[in-house]
Amino acid sequence: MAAAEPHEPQVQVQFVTQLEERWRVTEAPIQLPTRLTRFGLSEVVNHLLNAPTPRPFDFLLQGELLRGPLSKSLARLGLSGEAAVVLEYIELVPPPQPLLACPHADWVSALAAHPDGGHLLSGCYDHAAYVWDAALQSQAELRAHRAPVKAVGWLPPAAGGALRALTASKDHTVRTWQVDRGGVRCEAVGSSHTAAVESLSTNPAGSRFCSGGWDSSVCVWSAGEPAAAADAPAAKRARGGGASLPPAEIHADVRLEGHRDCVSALCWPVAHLIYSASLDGSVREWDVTASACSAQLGGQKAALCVAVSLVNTCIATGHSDHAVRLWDTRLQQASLKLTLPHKGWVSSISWATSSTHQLLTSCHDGGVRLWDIRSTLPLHELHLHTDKALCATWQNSSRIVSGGADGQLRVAEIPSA
Amino acid sequence: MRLRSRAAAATPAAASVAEEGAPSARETRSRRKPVPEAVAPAADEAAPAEAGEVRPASAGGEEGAGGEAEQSGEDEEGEEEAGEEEAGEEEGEDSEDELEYYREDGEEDQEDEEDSDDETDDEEDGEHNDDEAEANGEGAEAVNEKADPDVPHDQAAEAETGEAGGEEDAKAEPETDSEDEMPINTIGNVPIEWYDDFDHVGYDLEGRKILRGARKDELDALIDRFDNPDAARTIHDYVHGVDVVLSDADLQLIRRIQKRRYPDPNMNPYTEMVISEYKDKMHPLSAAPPRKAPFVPSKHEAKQVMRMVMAMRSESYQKSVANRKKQEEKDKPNYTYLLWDEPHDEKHHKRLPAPKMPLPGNAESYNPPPEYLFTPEEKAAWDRMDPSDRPYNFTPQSYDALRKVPLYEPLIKERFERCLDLYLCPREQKQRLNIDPESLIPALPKPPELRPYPERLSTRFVGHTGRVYAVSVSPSGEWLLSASADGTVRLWEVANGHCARKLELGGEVRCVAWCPNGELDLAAATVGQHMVVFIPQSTVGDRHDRTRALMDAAASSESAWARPSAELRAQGVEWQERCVAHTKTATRVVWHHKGDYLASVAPDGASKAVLLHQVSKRTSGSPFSKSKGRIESVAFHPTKPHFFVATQRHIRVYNLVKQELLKKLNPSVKWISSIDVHAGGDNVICGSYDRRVIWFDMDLSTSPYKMMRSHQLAVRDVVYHPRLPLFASAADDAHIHIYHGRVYADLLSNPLIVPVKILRGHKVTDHIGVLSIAFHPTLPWLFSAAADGVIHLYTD
Repeated sequence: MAAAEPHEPQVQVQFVTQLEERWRVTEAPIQLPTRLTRFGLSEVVNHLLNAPTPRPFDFLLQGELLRGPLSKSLARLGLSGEAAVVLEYIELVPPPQPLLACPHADWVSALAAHPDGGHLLSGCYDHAAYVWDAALQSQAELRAHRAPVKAVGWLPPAAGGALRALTASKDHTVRTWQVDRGGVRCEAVGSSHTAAVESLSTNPAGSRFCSGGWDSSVCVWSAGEPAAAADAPAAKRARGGGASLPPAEIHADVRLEGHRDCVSALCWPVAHLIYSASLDGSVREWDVTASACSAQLGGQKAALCVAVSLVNTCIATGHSDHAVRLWDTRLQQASLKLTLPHKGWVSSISWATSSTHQLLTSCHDGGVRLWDIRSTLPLHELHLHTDKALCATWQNSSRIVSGGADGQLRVAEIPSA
Repeated sequence: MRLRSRAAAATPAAASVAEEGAPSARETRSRRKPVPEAVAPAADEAAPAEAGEVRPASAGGEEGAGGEAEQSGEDEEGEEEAGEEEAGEEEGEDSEDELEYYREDGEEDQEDEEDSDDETDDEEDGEHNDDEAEANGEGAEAVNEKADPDVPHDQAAEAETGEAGGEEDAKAEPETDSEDEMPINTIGNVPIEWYDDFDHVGYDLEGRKILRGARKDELDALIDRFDNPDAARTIHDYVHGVDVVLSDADLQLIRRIQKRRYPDPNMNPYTEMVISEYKDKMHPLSAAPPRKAPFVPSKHEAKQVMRMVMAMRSESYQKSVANRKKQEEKDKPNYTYLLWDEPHDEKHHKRLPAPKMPLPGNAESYNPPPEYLFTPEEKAAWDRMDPSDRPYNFTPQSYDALRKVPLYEPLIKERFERCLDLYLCPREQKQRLNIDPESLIPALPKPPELRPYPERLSTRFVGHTGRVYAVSVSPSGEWLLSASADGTVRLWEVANGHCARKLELGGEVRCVAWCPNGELDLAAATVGQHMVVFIPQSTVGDRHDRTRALMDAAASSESAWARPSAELRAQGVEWQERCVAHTKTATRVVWHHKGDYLASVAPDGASKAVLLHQVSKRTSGSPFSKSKGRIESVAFHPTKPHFFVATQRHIRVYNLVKQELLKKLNPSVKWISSIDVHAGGDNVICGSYDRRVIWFDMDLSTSPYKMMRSHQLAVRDVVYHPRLPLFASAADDAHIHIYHGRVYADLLSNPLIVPVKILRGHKVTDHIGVLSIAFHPTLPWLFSAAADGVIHLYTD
């Protein structure tokens, strides 16, 4: 325990937690010097716990993560040292450790993690998309586009267990793929876009997906049924003969027009709502059933990526002014909640699946940052790439995957406590 | 006896005079002169008469005629005793009394105790003598003829003797007058006691010491008094320290003075008045009558006078006189003003009094306080200082007395300069406008209020190995084309800086421009002397197909373009303009907003400096048969068929339909580098190699509306944003200046120009900085190409 010197300012601290019983400490206020930082407070808690192995904790003061000395936070929040300060301690997120790397032929432009938590799909500027398993072993190469693949996604697996992938490319097309152990088949190609397609998103059920691109429109596609049994022999034939069936032409069900510039990112978190970010600076909420724009937020800065968290009803958008903005959607008029500064364009953004507060961003400065939205300082900053980081996503609750302009796909693991 | 008594009566006066230290000339003379022979017998005569009473004295006198000095002390004593004896006996005897007084007075220098009794006696004697003087005053004859009844009987004889003495005196005078050998004491009016301790009593005219006679003590004096027959008429001259024996003439003189008579017995106060013989003339020299000639008027003079009169009557003379008078009146200074009055004439009503000289301070004191004196360091600093910077024009120095202050050398110079200041310095009260300079600055909005504009470097497009001459953004804003000296044109993805394509065009590419028609996928570039048209993207799509169809359409008959070589075809180049080619390197290609026409410029190309091309017909032509000068840049009007041609010094606006010159803008710069036309078409900006950026409002004038001189080096490129109220200029100092340039729709408002940002980041390579800039078609993003081979994207 930190020795309290008599002359330095002190404060009454009451430690509370929502962790399980064995991590609880007494709720009686303890007199502590205000110079203590997170580390010192964590030592205090560990001392109180008398645990055999110390466990790092993070501390919340009035819903904000404590960064820097306690006195600074108290002053900022205007709390006097007279009343007892309630500090809630939570588990500290340990820094992710780089785990694996996988070189690509060109820039890795897009990444998608399969909901099963194992498979990865990466889009590359060499006009192909690649399927990887959890150990980053190449499973398949999806090569049919005539331009760099700009967006990838997963569809629910087919009846036979074959993976279904989704790619969008600069060649104005969207393709759906079926990957099984035997081979890769391009199921369908959608050419409704008149310009390069930049973004993709599937609905929660996986029955539909949407795409947006440089034609400033959002196309909503039907994912279609997995290849019928009748096609199976043909597929087999194709596998055997090496010549694949020509992909089916599909067309967009709905075309959502409204943006004035390229639709740079899409997010489809709820069955009937699509969120789209555009270079014109606006983020729009589309009602799919009505095929109309239901809400619009944002300002003048071009929006490059968007991620919506249903749990905390928060929209995170990355902008060309090197900032991530968090918008609260609960109110009628979406309001700006927080701005997270970066050092370059924010190329991608994704909410953690395990925590409601964690956010992963990739930036053009080559860094991948893990944020807790209760603080404006990143939890961890990973310099995974030597060039721009173009995409980052959660493979599962503890794995981070990112791809960048250095042609590397990198995986980092958050060690469990 | 009578004579003696007279002399004795006279001596007190003489003595009293001598006592005062101012002996009269006569006394001095009588004193010094040796006892005359003529007097000596008289004295001798007198001595026997006296002998009855004062015998020893007379005896002493006879004895000591030669050695009186030795016996004087005794003589005095003897006389005193004798005096005391006689005093009671002979009360009525004047002469005895007088002698007594004389003796006592004569010894005053030795016996300071002066008896007041003698004084009173002296007065009584005076009264007595006065009576005698009255008697004398009645007339010389009366004195001589009859004896005064008041005077004792022997007085008549005395008068005779007096006369005789007077005669003797007159005789003796010529001898005694020669006083030259007499030493005259020059010590002046100082107490003689000062010389008591010396054996001299002063100095003569030559400065020699006047030795004192041997001093007699009282005994000697007494003895002398008895021995010396002249003791009664001997007085001591204190000034010269000698004893003087008074002559009879002296005594007579003294006596006459005592009697208030004229000292000179020959003096006749009642002379007859002589009346002159000639009352009128002093000296009647000639009695000749005056000549006639002087009284006759001169004929010659009359003639001369007449001539002058005639001349004066002449008209010209009158005129000249009048003129001269006028001139004189004009020239005559007007002295009728008050010399010390305040000047109030109109001419100098603004005159200011001369500033007063500053008063001297402590440092100017001759002995200033020590803090004003220089320490060695201050002195060194003072010497190092320029004289004009010094607080005062002298070095403070300390003197313990004002008289030790040396001459101040530059005094005359300073006085002279002060006079120059006073008389020659023009002093005038000037009306100064009290305007706060800040208030003159127009109230411009703050840059943050004018957002968005490019603020930060977001993406660097790295790959070119040579200078990047030009950049061009696709109409959608998705792609960027760059032309470089390394012979390539590169296609970049704007969003992340990915180089999508590299086109080898086989030569230095000086300019590239994306066709502004969004329906087409077409761009033009200049390679060497040729303009090429190519399809930048190799992707498929409707646009691509349309462009391909346009490119592959059958050429019209007058086609001037040619298909390039297979290598270039493989790079995507569709057509190469070859027939009407420039004769020199083409540096610029500009599209018409509809995307069908384009113009290429080769500044050194003389008559073929500008070529107009049409893509659909694949024709080319030279619109100007004659060169107006070196053409630097051209631009199409965004809406009208107008064409802007920037030569080295002017911008000419042509109407392409009517084929006529519309306007000639004069930016008054030395060398225009680039121009750009505002999307509205009424405003033009122009950059120049002499560091200026000039905005023309063509509705206002053909002269510059605003000239901005903010760049340090030559301005290379200026560009308007197609949609937003922004424009930018790039220069060789590798800086890009972003301006907010808002053009209002109403004609009354002039454009608002506010500099908002300076973008840095490029490096100067070979003294060249940023070569080309281009705005994103919709967003406030700016692309800049620099000589260092890097393209930057600045975003809001």
